[in-house]
Amino acid sequence: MAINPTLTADAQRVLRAILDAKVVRGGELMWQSGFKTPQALATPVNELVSQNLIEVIGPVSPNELPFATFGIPPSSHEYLRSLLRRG
Amino acid sequence: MDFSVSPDLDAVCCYGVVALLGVWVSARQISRRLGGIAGLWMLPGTWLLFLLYLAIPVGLFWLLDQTGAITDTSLFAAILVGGGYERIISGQNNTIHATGDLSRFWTPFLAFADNVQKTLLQQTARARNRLDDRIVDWIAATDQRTGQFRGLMRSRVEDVAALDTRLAGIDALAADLGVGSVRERKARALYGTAVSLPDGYRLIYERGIIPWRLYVLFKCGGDMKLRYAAVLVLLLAGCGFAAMSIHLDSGWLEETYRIWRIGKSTTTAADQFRSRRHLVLLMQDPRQAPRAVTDVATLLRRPGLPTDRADLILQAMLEAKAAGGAVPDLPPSLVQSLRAGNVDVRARVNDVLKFLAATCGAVPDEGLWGWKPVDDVSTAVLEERITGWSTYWSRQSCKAPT
Repeated sequence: MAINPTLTADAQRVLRAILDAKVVRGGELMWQSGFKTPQALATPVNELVSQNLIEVIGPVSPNELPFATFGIPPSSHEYLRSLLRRG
Repeated sequence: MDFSVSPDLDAVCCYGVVALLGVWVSARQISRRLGGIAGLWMLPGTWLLFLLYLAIPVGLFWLLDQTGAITDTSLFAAILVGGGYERIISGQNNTIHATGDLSRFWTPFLAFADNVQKTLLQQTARARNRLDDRIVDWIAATDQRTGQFRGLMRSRVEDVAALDTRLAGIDALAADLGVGSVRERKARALYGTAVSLPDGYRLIYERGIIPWRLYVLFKCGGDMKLRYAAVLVLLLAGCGFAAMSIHLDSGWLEETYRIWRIGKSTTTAADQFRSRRHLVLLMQDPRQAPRAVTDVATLLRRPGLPTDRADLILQAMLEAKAAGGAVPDLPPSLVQSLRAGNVDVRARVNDVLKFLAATCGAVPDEGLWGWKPVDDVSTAVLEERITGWSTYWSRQSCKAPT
């Protein structure tokens, strides 16, 4: 997991939605974080995955993104929430 | 906080309070770490984690009692530990200070919560993928369903052109893939759009594109949860059946509990009074008395039993006998208590045996009456005296004093 990473606003939005839901599928994540297309969601998701901040099961290509499942280990919740508070 | 102002309840009630509050705090812990995950309570791992969290306040309450920080009959202490054990463990509670470094206490729990979350993540993904496949298969089975689905999605999606382009791309593969495969790919592409809509499943169900059983399956989170629900029902039925089949001896339970309480060194005066009163009642009950008297007498031999507790036990025995209860075999049981390691306890038992002989109007035995266990701890002499007392009481027939 990256230490004190800098996240874009979109990535923060996605991270917040995953933190709230704990386990969420890509399709639901799209409308929960306010993205209209899987392509738009893919960018922040890839940003979070590349920094090892979220867990994902399934491919994160735009076409398959609605079927992927996202989660965050409970031990990382506090750290990630503090990251979001910091902005 | 001064716990002496707290109501002094039976320890079983205080442990009950701790457990009840523990249930609430444990549920909150689970909810904070894993809450919101559908089907969370259908997983055995969640229940195991819940039970582990629940065991903490009960264990902590016991530990704090053992270390003398609280007494396990204090209602206020029970409330404080049950409701605020997280703060006690993290050292944030000013009233109760846990000894030792407990700052890393939560680490294994967090690791276990991570495991549960990972399992849930994998199971959710697997269950939903299976459900996706079933729904896609259902829609792709006919042209009519696929067409209807396509129409619905075109009316809902923002970028219709992008959707049409993607579907056209799939159509272009018809020559290579065949009609069935193309229909399936199109259904999957459209389905990806549907699951990205708020309440998309309900929409496709209400439009008659999927049958109610698939919609119900979605609402249940896939067949995984149904299977766990079935296991849970079977487990509950099994527990209910076992509870009805196994007859628990409530007298034995109470006796074991009271013997624990009266032998415990860190109890309040009120608790000692309760224990004594209940033990007297048990030793007067004709059904419980034989076992109770033997077990209470055996307690006198327990290593480390404080002398004041030995006094309390002997007082309870004599009270039960004086009250005219059955109290059978009191002297023979007490004779065996002369084997207690503590010479003070031995001396007290010896005195009680002499007292019982006097109340029976039995003729004193000079050899036994002159013996002082405090002065003589030789094993051979002790055995000789025990045999002497056994022989003495086998000749006597002691009735309750009138």
